[in-house]
Parts: sequence; C-alpha cells; structure tokens
Amino acid sequence: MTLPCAPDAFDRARIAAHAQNLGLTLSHPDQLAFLESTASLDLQAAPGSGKTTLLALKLCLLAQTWHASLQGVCVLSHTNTAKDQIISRLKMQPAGRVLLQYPHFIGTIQSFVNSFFALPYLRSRNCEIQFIDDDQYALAALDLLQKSNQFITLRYFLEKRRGGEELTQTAHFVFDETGLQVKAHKDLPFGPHTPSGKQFIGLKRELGRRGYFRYADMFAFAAKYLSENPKLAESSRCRFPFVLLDEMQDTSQVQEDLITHLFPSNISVVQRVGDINQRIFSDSDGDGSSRDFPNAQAMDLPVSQRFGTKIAEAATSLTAHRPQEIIGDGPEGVCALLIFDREAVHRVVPEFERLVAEIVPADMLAAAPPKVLGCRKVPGTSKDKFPQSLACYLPDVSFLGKPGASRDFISTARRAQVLWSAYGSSSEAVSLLWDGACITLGRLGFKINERRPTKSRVKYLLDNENRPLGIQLREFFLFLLSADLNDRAAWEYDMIGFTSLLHNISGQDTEKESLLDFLDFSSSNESDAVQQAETPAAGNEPAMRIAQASSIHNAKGETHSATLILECLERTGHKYDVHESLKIIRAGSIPLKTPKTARSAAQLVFVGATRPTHMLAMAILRERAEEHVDELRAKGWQIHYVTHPESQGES
Amino acid sequence: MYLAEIRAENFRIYGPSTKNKDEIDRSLHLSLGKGLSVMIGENDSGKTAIIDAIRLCLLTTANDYSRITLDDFYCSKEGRASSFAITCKFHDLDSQEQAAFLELITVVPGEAPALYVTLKAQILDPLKSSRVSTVTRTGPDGDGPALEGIARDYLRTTYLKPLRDAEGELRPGRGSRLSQILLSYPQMRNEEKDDFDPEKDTAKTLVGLLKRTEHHISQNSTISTAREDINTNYLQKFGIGTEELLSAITVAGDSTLIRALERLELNFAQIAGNEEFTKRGLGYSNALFMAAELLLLSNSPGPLLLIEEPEAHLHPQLQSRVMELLTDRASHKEHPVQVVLTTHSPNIAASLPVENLTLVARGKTYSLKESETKLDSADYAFLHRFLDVTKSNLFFARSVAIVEGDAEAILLPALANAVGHSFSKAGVSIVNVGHVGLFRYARIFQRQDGDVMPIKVACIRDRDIAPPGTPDDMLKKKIPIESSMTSEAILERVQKLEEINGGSVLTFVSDHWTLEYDLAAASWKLAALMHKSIQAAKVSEYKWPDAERLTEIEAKAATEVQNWKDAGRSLVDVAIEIYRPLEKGNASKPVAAQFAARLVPAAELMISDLPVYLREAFTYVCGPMS
Repeated sequence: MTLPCAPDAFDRARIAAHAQNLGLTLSHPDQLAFLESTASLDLQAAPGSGKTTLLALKLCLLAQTWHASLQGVCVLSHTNTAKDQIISRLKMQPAGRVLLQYPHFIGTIQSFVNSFFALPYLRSRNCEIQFIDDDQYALAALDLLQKSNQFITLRYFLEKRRGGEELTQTAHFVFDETGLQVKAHKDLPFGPHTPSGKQFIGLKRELGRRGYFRYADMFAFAAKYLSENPKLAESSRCRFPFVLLDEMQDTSQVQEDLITHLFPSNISVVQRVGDINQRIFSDSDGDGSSRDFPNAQAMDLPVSQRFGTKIAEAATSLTAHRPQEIIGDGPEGVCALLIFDREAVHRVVPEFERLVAEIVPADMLAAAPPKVLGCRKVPGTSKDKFPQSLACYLPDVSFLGKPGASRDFISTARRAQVLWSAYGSSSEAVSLLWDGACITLGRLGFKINERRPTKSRVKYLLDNENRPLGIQLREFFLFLLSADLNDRAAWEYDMIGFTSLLHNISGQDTEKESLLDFLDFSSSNESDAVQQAETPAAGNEPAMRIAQASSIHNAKGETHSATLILECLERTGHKYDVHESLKIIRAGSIPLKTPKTARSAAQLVFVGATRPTHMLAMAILRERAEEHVDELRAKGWQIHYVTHPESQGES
Repeated sequence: MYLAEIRAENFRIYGPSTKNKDEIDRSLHLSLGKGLSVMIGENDSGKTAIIDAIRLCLLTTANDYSRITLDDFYCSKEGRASSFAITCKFHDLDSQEQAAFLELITVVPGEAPALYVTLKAQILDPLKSSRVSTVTRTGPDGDGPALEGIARDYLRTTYLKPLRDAEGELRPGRGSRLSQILLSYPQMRNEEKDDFDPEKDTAKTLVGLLKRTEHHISQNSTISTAREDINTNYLQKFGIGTEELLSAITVAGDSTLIRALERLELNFAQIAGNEEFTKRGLGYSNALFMAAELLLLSNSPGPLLLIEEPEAHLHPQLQSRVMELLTDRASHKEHPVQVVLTTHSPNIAASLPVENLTLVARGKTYSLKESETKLDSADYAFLHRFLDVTKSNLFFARSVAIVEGDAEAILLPALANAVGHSFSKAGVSIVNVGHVGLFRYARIFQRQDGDVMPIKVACIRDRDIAPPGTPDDMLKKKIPIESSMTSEAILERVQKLEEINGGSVLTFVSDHWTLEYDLAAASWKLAALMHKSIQAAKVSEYKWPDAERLTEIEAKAATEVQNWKDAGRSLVDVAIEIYRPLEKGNASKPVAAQFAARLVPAAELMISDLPVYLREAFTYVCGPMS
C-alpha cells in the first residue's frame, strides 16, 4: 500500500532537520533504515536507545506531508505512559501536532479497541456503559453475588472453595466461532450447563446489562463486532494505512491476534517496535512463546545512550528472550553489589543512598532521581524465605495502598490534577472529577428517576433543575484541581464541604460507611511512593530518604540516575531473583539449561537493571552472596557489605 | 452515502415523540430517498423546518452561520420546550466512508452500517434567547463520540436560501462563492505558482497574471501621478517621527491565488459585438447561481444539496429545465448529488415522479414512496403520466375534491360559494380527473400504515342510475333504471363506488343519476336554473347566444318550469325533461355548467336547495358552517 505522503517525505534532509529539532543524533545505520522505511517491519530497540524520540521523529516525517484528510496514522501502545511520552514529543513539533486529532489515532490498544469497535458495538445494542474497569467490576461482581438470591447456588458453591469468589470477579467474555463465552482467570470448576455454571454466566450477563464491564470484555465485543461485520476490518485498513505499534513486547496474544486480523502486515504498513527483553510475564498470559515479535528480519537498535559499558555488559547477559549485544554509549557508570546481613536489612536502602550521594553527580540526581526496585511489594505466604519483598527492606512504607483511581476520591482528584497540570486537559480532568462525584452520589443511595446517577444524568439534572448547585460543584472541582492533596487536615475539611454539597444535590442526609471510606484521605504512596526528595542535610546525620521505591513493573520506561534492585522472591516463590540473575551475569549470557523460573526472574531484573544512567546496584543476602563476589569483582563490580551497627561496616 | 432519515423532536412545529402508542407522536420522522426528495405542502406546514433541521444538524458549506434562537423550540399549550434534538441518519456508506467514520458508525445486526448525527440544543437562560447550548454527537441516541474536525466538514450540506440574492452571491469579494467553487478544482493548485516574468512581460498562471496586472497598473502614468499626489501632499503630513506612510494602488492586497479568485465575477457572456454589459433578469441570475452551486457540489465528497423554493424568480418552463438538471444530477452514475427541496410550484410537483414527493401537512410528513402509500407501481406509472400542472394543485391543498368531469369542476365551487362554503377560503383544490383513474388519485392520500392524513379528500361521483319513469330513449346501454333494480343491487352499486374510501378519503355518490340531473331534481329553484342553462347550452350548439338572446332563452325556460310546477308535475318528471338534451347529446355538459355557474350567484340558493350528497361533500371538505 502506498502511503498518502509526498514521495520525498523521508529524504535525508528532512530527517536531519527533524532530528535536530528533537535533539536526536543518528549514529546507527538501523536508525536511518527505520526512518526511511515505508514497509512493514519489526524493530528491536535496546533500553535507552532513544526509541521514543525515534518514533516521534518518524511520525513527524509522516505527518508533514500527509495529505489524506480522511485517512490517518494509527499509533498504538500498551500503556498510557508510553502514549503520553509520544504525544508530549509530538506536541513540541508543529508537524507532529497534526497527528493528535482526527483522522489520526494515538492511544493504547485498549482505547483503540474500545473506541473503534467495542463501544460502537455496545452502542448499536443500546447498552449504556457505566464503567469499564477491572477494580470496580470486581466490587460490583462480589456485591451482586452476595446480595442477589438469583445466584444462590453459585454463591454456596464458590464460598466453599478457596478463591472461589474471585472467579466471578475475573469473569470475562471471550469470543469464538460459537459466540460470546464466559471465562475466568482460571478454569471453571463447573460446566456451563450445571446450575452453578448457568448462574455464573447469568451473573456475568446481568452485570453486562447493568453496563459493568472489564477491560478484557472489550476485546471479545470487538471480535464479535468484526466477525458480524467483516467489511469493517477492510474499512480499518482503509482508515489507517500506517500503523505503528509501540511496546510490542507487552501486547497479549488476544491483542496481537486482533491487530493482526485488522492490519495484516502484508496488506497494511505495520511497524512494530519494542524490546522483547523487557517483556514481563504476568499470571494471565501463560506461555507467550508463540509470539512472532521480533521477526527474523527485525532491525536492531543496540546502542544505549542511557548507560555506559559496565551496565551494558550486565544488561547484555540478561537478555533472555532474544540475545542482544547492548552497546553502552552513555556515561560510564558503576555496578555495585550490596551484601547484607539478615539483621541489617533495613540499612540496605540508606547505604545505597549514601553511595549514590558519593558516586552520582548532584545535577543528575535532581534530573533523574534514584529509585529502589523490587519484584514484589509485599511478602507472600511462605514463612521461611527471606527476604521476600520490598516491605522487608522498607517496613515503614505502606505498599498496600488502594490501587486504582476509582477506589477512593482522593486518587481520582490526584489523577485529575496530573492531567490538568501535565496536559492542560481540563475536560479530561473535570470529567474524572464528575465520575468521582457521581460515584459518591451513588454511594449516598441517590437515584435519578430510579436510575444510577451517571455523569450525563447528574449534569442534566443540575443544569435544568438546580443551576446554582451545579455551579457550586464546578467551582469545587476547580478548587480541587489546585488544592494541596497531601495535607490530610485540609482534605478532610474539604470533604465536609463536598459532602454537604452532595447532600444538597441528593436531598438526603444520611451518613454512610462506604461513603466515608470513599472520601477518606490516603497518602499518595501506593505504587509510586512520593517521598520527599529533599537534599541530604549537611553533617553526619543520615540523609533523608531520597530514593523512591516501586515495583519493577511500574518502573518500565523510566530512567533513574541510580537504581537499586532489592533481592526478592520471584513469582513462584521458590527462587531469589537477584541471586539467579547474578549467576547469569557471571556466565555472560543465559545458560541453556536455566530453568524457566530463573529465566523469568532474570527478565524482570533486566528491566530494573536497564533503568540507571550512573549506578546499578543489587542487594543480596550474605548467605547467597559469596559465590558471586570474586567473579563480579573481576568484572569491575564494587562490593559493599551492609552489616548491623554493632558489627563494623566494611566496604 | 446518503441521508436516509431525519428525525426531530421539539423543533419548531414538530413536537415531542411519544413513548406509548395512545398519544399522538408529534415529532418529525421522515425517510428520504437516495436522489431527489421534494417537500410539498401549504405554507406553515413544516417544510422549511425540515430543511432547517438538516442544515442546523449538518451545517452548511457557505459561511453563513445561523444561530439557534428561542423560536426554534417547540411550543405547545404547556409552554415552550427547553431542548430539542435533531438526528440525521446516513445509509449506504462506501468502504472509504466507513473508514472515515469508523469509530462513529453504528452497525445494528442485520443492517448495513449507518451513521447517526444528533444535534441537541438546550435553552440555557429563557430570558436571553441567545443563550442556547448545542452539542453534536454520533450514535443512534446521540450518546456516541462527538463529531469533530474534518469528519464534520465532510457532512456539510450546500444550502440555497429561498429568497436568495443570486447576483450578490456571484459578486466578487472576500470569501466569494465563486472563489470557493473555483478552488474546488484540483487543477487549481497549479495556478498558485507565480510565473510572471517582468523582463519578457509574460505570465500564464492566475497568480502570474495578477502580478503582471499589478505591475502594469503601478507603471501606468495616471495611477502613479495619483499615488505620488496622495503620498506627497497628504500621507506624508500624517507621518509621526521618522515613520513614513506610503500608499500603493493595487488590484488585490496580496497577490495570492485566493485573492486572484476573489476578484473574479460570474456573469452571462455578452452577445458578440456588444461590449456593453446588460443586466439579465433575476431568474437567469438564479439559474446561473444554481448551476454554479451544482458545479461545486459535484466536486465535493459528501454531496447533499438543500434548496428552498427552486422556482423562485423562474418562469414555468425554466422551472422544468432546472428540475430536469437537478433530476439528472441526482441520478448521476458516478457522482450522484442528493437533493432535498421544498416547493410551492405545481409545475415542479407535476414534473417529478410521485414517489419523490413528500407531503407536509400541519407538522406531519407523508412520504409518497411506494412503501408508504397504498399506490401500487401501476399507479405510480399512471400518475407520472397523467398528473399535470393543474392536477398537482392537490398537493398544496387543505382538502381536495376529486371530480370526474368538467361540469363538476366548473359548477361545484360556484355552488359551494353560493351556499356559504367557500372553496378558496377553506383551501379546497378541485381536481378534475376526467373519466379515468379517480381511485389512483385517491390512493395518494391513503397510507400503508393506516394513518389518516389531515388532508380531507372527497371523491364526488355519479351513481348513474336513471330514476323511475325515464323514457327508454334516454337510457344508454350501461345505465340501469332504478325501477328495474332491487334495493340490494342499488346498494351494491353504491358500495362499489365507495370502495376507495379509507383514511381521509370519502366518496360522495350522487343521490340518483348525474350531477346535472340531481341538481335539477333537488329543488324547483335549481330545476329552473338548470333548465335555463341547458336550454342556453342547446342553443349554443349552433350559435353562441348574445346577451339579448340569452335573456330571452332564460325567460322562456323560467316560464316553462313555472308552468310545469303549476301543472302539478313531479320534480322527478320535470328533472328528466330538463336533463334530456344533455343525455341525448343535444347540449354540451361543460357549456351548460358554464351557464349555470353564471346564474348561481343570483339564484339565492339555500343549502337545503342542494342535493343531499353535495351538502355532505361540502361540509366534509370545507368543514361545518360557522
């Protein structure tokens, strides 16, 4: 397919001009080859290889001479973070800004599937959507299971089983030749035609009738919509002659199948970009070995501008999915091993911070704060294993925060603030707050004509029947967008005002426990702990904590000046991730007979190990450390011992 | 892609839709065909509201912005509605259009993809009529994604106002219509290059030509004298500080392509040898304007043309020519243009196939598509042939009287008027269909769904049964005599004539035989009137009577009737005698009707003087007497 671009859209002069605008130096031949290509291709990009900037450059080139007014470029990513990064780069370029609107699309695969297929499908069936959210769905499913007598057989059956109720919470639609099926995260313990099986399907369908959906449902609806209207796939190809897939390594099989169905690479131009070595296994997707990304002819971006040769060497040995020789072209950094005693586990992070202050230049520290990573946040069930999780190292940090913006109002408000300040998007931010207010009204038991108070209904009601209250509510939203959301007292005071406002709207004056929960203050350290990054105080007083802690999963795509990977139990709870990874680093590559659990632990550590610019540190318990020390020292690693204050520290 | 359906709720004359079946649905719900759709009906019936609904919802290509005001909101006894909604539904999206609207289309199982566009307007503050908020979204209920940017542009319609200033529209100036039309030509891109060569003094492209003109104008001695004069004697006196003001005399401010095009004007070519410009009539300017708009449309992607009263300023023959052009464009194979127009012109109504028409009556629409009416395909073919300009009056009437002869067409309005029912005041059209196809015309007003149209249709027909005592020589082959028939047979004959009843169509069968006989037999007053007229008609067969002769004939006829009455003859007997010349072919029915119509105003007729069936028919079409 020829693209609706000028023939000279990708000539060298244009590329050079845009590269200069974006501050990108083109040093590797595959960078140019990627930019110039208008055919389907795969690009395997090492961490720190400037992939996002390269994508933005390519998109600018496309946009500059794009002349089809009803056809667009489709840019799909896995996470919102990746999408936002691309958008923020495009925004800075006049040519790139064009891509932010119709007929183009930039977004996550989920939002693409929602807006082009799943939502039109639901609209055509007159289904009113209340939410598409796994967390809210889980609550609603449990609520319905426990409260409705319609599902009594199922309830008794599931109550007797461990994790039984979770099956209803993860129930999602799957589309196959026979139609929509209901599946859960595990195999169901009953057949579809047993009484429990029937109620299980009934429960899912009832929630669907109420407009409650899970993310995965959208893929099933999209598949059904496409199978009922086969011409739509052709229309999609016609609408988007160019498709760019970012973070390709993280797309699930279902997503990949759908995308391949819509955009076969031999018909559409599909350029897939990612780093297969940063692929993270999750519980739900099982064995991902059937993926064909990157294909055999994939282009390679092995040069990392992020870190130097030492970190590159460690990273290279951890490339588990597809061995890649990562070339470190960034600042020369340090690899360090922190060996700690069981009693000194709490001193690991402070020791790291001390080293960071010594090794990393201050301006770098401010630009890319150091981070502490672990593959688990909280310990598992086994008793005899140590250490198990981040919480073992940092007992004072709560990792059990309520995830998801929808669980409590303050998270919603925080998310809204981010949207407002980062993108100036008042409509999205306010829309979030409306959602929050509607949930609150719902918890108050407020109904509009016997129906749930949705955003549009509440807005309509206020605009028509009580305009002053509507204005007050909007004023409150505006206030929230600039309020200090880290001050508990202020928040609680604000919520008193908010509650009385909502009482005025609903005309009810009942205190509800669930409401109080929802409006409660929670500190913002859930996944991304926002500990104040204050500069270390002068003197010998240990510095205030400067490093944030988070899970490795959440650190994807980030850049830190220094990264500490804390040894934790890997997913299955049998092995220690740092220990297994060090074995591999010593070997220089992944030995053939490495078991799968060790392999996947190493993959995760790879993600963490490729974050830092100046210093990569790993912490390991002394009893497992000794075998590694000599060989690592020989590879140029620093070795530090973290001991209990009574015994003498040694470095 | 074409606009297949338009719905409106609480918009102007169109009220709210209803949820339960018992209430009357006052909303607009109209389906449109692919090509040409014509809205016809009397004034204030809701035709313009349809056009305006479409153009408010889809916007127009011209830069005229029409604001929604308070009087766009439906007003009922309960007061004014605070919001209205207009939904346009498009069908037949080709794959490129499906692609363009991919996230916006709706595919209901078993149906082709459709695109819905819904405009919702709401009064924000009733005291300030300008405060109306609007939102345009997609999806069947208007809760899908908003329609943005280019996608919205794609759907814009071309709209021709009813009282358009054709000359103004074609005049040069900023953003002129002609410049837009010319810009829509793909080749126009090449004209953007400036190829003016001052050395050789050549230029080919439009921009080059403009540059060259500018160049020569600035070189012209008179112009430069004037410029110098302005500069030295006036402008320099305004200069403040070191700032110097200088003037330039040019054709266009900047020599861009768009400025070049805005200088152009569309006019009729001059007759060869005559250099002077003569202004052509309004009608031709209008035709020229429409031609220009059609040209622009055939170059644009989403072609929907809305025209209000294309007949404006055009004489009947030109109306037909314009309609031919529109029909031709609407059925064009490669670039069909969908046209929706309103008209008050019987010429236009008559020149189009009936299925393209939509009757609009008192806030209700009645499409005359085959699927909607009781007309069958033979009826459509028949009507297309026989529905002429005079008959197409029926589309613009409040009520219609369908009659089978000239005599009825001439006499009935006069009779009605004489007894206090005015056809013109009641908006009654009388349609003479001759002897064929009365039922076909009646079916125009009968709906497939059983809906009763607010247009009353009276079919006035002859029973054609001769009264007892009619001499044999007056009985034609098919005319039976009443005395020879059983009452069941008579009833059956009448019922057969009334078979076309249904909806708003009601048949009024004469009480006995024919209109003329029934009139003569209705009262002595009418007997005298009919005798005078028929005798006059009889004489007219040979020589048209002058006024003197006519008075003579009438006086004689009056005396004869008086004598018969005095002799105690029955009215039936006398009526047969009076009617005889018409039945025997000794006098012409239309001529007799002509004379009768002349006599009616002076006859001092009372409603009770009329035959029963006419009294009922008049009451039906004109409404009860006040």
